[in-house]
Amino acid sequence: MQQAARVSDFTAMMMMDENRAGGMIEFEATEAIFTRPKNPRTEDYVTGRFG
Amino acid sequence: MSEKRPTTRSSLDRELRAIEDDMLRMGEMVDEAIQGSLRALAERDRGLAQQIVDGDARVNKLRFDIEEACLALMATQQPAAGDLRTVVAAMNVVGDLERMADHAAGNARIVLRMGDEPLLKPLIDIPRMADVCRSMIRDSLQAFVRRDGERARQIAAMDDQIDGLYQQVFRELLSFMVEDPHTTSRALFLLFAAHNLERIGDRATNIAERVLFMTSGVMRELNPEPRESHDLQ
Repeated sequence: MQQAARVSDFTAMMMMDENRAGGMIEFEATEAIFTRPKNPRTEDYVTGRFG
Repeated sequence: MSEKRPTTRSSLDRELRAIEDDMLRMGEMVDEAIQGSLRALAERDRGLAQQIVDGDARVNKLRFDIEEACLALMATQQPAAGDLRTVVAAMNVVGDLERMADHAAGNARIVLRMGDEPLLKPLIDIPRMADVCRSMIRDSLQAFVRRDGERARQIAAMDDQIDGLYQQVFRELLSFMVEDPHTTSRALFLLFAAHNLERIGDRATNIAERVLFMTSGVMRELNPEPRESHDLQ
């Protein structure tokens, strides 16, 4: 994840749920995803609360 | 995928909590310094004033200790998103708390410099300013710990009370000096004391701004009017 943060300009957060795989839940500039994500599931993932 | 799986956050959470605990302890030290410096001024207690001046070094050391803990956390845990904003906010908050303690020590130094000269007038608005400052500090640190951005907004609005009281003190002391220039030095001592409290109020507003940044990711001034204008009056 740190490598993705370092080298990318944009980041997409994709997750799997019961119905489908690869649903995109948030897409933003990398800087925004890692400092102020809007989706709580993105926040939980980048702060190590799951995954 | 299960969100109940154990995560690697336990040491991050522990370190964040330790930083917050130390920050609250620093807030208590600042609170005691403000309260003590006002008591020293009201009672002309030079011993107490000297204690506050000497105690400032402990606040300075705690600030550096907390900053080091923040740096170590960033280097070892690579916090992101809300965690990162919390650590960055904490580093800014301890800087503001340290400056508040300097202003409180400044008021204690005023007591030492006044010597035996009697107070120009009874203290009325200056203790009120100190009370509002202390509430702002206590409440903004609680808002930090509770991640309460809405409360932070309300706290910032309290700075208007401090500014209003400062204006009142300023006008009153100015009239003393105009009527009788011999009162100038005694009026200036009180004006400096009020000015230090006015600066503390601005620093407490900074803490509220940091709480809002931490909770929302938005960085902006809560009292955008030119607060520094008091310096020029």
